[in-house]
Amino acid sequence: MNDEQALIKRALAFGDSEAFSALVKMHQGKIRAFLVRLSRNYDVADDLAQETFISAYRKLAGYTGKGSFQAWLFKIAYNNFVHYRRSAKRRSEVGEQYAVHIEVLHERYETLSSEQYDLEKAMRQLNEQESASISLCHSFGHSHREAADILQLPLGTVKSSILRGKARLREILVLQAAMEQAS
Amino acid sequence: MNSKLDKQQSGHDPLDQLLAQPALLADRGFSTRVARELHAPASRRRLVFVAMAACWATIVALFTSPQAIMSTMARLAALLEGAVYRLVPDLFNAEIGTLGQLIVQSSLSSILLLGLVFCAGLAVFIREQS
Repeated sequence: MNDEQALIKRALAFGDSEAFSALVKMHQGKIRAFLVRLSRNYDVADDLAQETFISAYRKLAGYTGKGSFQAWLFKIAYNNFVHYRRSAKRRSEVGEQYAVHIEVLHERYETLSSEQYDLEKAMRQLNEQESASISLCHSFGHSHREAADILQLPLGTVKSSILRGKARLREILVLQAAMEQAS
Repeated sequence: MNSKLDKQQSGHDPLDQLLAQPALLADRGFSTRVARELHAPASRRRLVFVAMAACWATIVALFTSPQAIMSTMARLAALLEGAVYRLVPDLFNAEIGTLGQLIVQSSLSSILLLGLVFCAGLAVFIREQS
């Protein structure tokens, strides 16, 4: 039994919030990075991530252990994001705050190389479906099937979103590099 | 970046490699905030539920029917009335005694009203805290 499974078992059996806090520490970096890519706003992503972990703690008994715990968390996170996005008022706030936060990008991450910085900038130009599919499958290690389950999309849609998104990413990154060289 | 993104002959896609190393958000107190949130509302909720359960158990233990509750309330009101008369006899012997009697007679309604106000206050408090 690995650390994660032991912590889940402790949190489930004894309602041990310390064990769950350890799980939060283990997964917060990925969940928040995913939500930042979707919401394009660090404060919103943090709020959604907090909601995600709190509802995960409350729904922990509903985690059957069939899929990975991380996939279960990502599904809750994505559902929270979808719920957030449905509010038209909130959606209008995203653009305003995105411009402010991109300048402080370096301070937010554990480490951020220039390549990762370019990638994060490029990811923001993809649509939500492309960004989410690529993030889940290529950045956070989920299978196409898991991503389809998390995003509640057909498997084929996830695969085509990844292909389309990666092609766009290449174009954007090449363009960004050309602009950097020119300046 | 341009050359970096071209597929290398080895078959490794640089874009895939870059995507596979996502920049992760630094914790910076996030886990602590979540832990605080996990503890606080749960304890408050638990406290409210325990209090409600205790109240319910007491009511069930004391009364056999809603009619029994009403008659007990009436007896409680009469007891309070007697207590108030004993504590402040002068007040009721004085000219304003009639007013005092009126207040005491409506003590049952007052208790019920106070109970309702208390419940409403408690509900507002819980709503604000959660």
